[in-house]
Amino acid sequence: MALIHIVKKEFEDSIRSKNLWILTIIFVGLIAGGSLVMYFLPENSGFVGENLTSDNAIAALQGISSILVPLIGLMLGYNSISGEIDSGSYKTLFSLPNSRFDILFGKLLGRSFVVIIPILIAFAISSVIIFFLYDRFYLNNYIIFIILTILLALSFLSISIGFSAVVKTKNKAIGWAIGTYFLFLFIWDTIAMGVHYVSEGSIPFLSGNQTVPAWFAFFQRVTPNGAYGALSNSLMDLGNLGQFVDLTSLIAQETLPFYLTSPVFLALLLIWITTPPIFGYFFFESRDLV
Amino acid sequence: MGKAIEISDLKKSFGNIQALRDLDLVVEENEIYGFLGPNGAGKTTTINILLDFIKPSDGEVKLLGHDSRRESFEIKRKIGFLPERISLYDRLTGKRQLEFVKKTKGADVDLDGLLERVGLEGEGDKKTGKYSKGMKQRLGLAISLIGEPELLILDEPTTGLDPHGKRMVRDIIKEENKRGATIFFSTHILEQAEKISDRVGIIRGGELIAEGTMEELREQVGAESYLRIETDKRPNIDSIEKLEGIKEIEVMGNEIKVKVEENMSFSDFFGYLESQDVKILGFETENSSLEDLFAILTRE
Repeated sequence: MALIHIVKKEFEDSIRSKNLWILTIIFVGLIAGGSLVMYFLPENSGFVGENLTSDNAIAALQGISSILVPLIGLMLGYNSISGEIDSGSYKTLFSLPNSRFDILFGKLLGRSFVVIIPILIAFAISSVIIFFLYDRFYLNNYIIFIILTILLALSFLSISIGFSAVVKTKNKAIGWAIGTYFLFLFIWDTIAMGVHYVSEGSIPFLSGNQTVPAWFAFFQRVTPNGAYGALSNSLMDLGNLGQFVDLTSLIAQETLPFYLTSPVFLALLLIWITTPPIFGYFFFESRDLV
Repeated sequence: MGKAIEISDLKKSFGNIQALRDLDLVVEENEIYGFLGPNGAGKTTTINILLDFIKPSDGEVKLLGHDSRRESFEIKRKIGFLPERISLYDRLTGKRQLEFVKKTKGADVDLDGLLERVGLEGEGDKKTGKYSKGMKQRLGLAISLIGEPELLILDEPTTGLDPHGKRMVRDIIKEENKRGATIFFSTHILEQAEKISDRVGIIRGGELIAEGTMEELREQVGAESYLRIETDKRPNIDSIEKLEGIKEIEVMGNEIKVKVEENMSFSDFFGYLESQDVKILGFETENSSLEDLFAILTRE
């Protein structure tokens, strides 16, 4: 089983990446720091109610996670295969009895373990702060939040490994990574607005109307980070603390259409995790390496 | 005896550029084959195809009886490969990378002994990012030796090595060959090919333009030996040229330069000079230089 040796090698190699640790330190600092800052905020300040609970921390950390975690995922994946080809180290790896399947999915698995580490460190430290300083610790919500955040990281890791199997140089890989990041985190909403304008003749939210059609709510959340936000909202009951918009009030309907329910968004997140490497593999399998 | 490598009608183009055109090449089992050619002749392209890094545009390639494309997995279990200017995982130690290869190949090998064999004793626990070029090359050679491969493919194996390192590579090639391995190595330096190869194939412009033992190659290009004779007086050379085996003669004062067929006996020629009453003060023979030979073969 050659794959398991690649998983181990990838883990040991990419965990020694300096960039990973710089991002990890920033992420851990923001998550732990954020949890600590919440403790010092005055009661009833608008952020915190009478009791300070772990849900307050989650609500505060959702934003940080949805911006930084995709970056960690992309950083770990974008050059995973193209980097081997760019540097020439692929020549040894590919001369061994490894299939290209072993190589691509071995890298994906090995780096999946690595991407979990900064998340676990950050939330472990944050949980210690919450446990000792906060009034209540709702463990259920906290665990759901960690799992969702890991899924978010994995989806961006998978996407970046997928295109890493397609491009041949490090520079192109960087371009794709930056492009993916901006597209999903900053440009997607604008695209959604544009689609809305074309089909409905108006730009949502601008006309004073705070509700949108259900399809638009879905389109906005079709990205991994969009699905993450939707799930953060629906799977954890944060009351009015949550940072992500409540869908029932957004589309002004009592019951959500099925495509705006949690199982669909969970499936969407899993599709983002599984399909990019599969597409990457089919391209990778038949291509010239040089 | 089986064939270690069989390449027939191999073609490879990159866009409009034809890197290989109708390459035919056979490497017998347990021979040391030097794959010689100037830079850009198609050596690395050929090796990339042998290892299934790139697909041939046309033609067939077999290694150890297996099809290079369909059975590349089977092939990779039986071969060892040293790429040109090897690139390693700089964040991992030398030994860790050997261990990775060992496990992937399921090989049984003493890694410390292997490190010693390539002259890296005591360096195994350093990250390869701290290795010099030569040390990387040595580690690459060690990687290729893991699992006692039946066929060793070495792309410019002496690149970046000092003369000691170069000799080490040659010694290891000979040892591996003695163990029973076939060696296929590329080089752009004729001297390297000449020193250890049983046979040499010369590639230029994506085609094999000459192949054989070094002697055969010399014959193919009509490379001759020179005889340089110092005499006490200028001989009369009018009838010398009729002697068998003599191709060309030049007289400069008391020195005669004769071009003869390779391995011919010079005794007839000496007898002729004595019959002319010319005393031979000294003589030496020389082959046309190997560099000349290579230059002739790869001339545009």
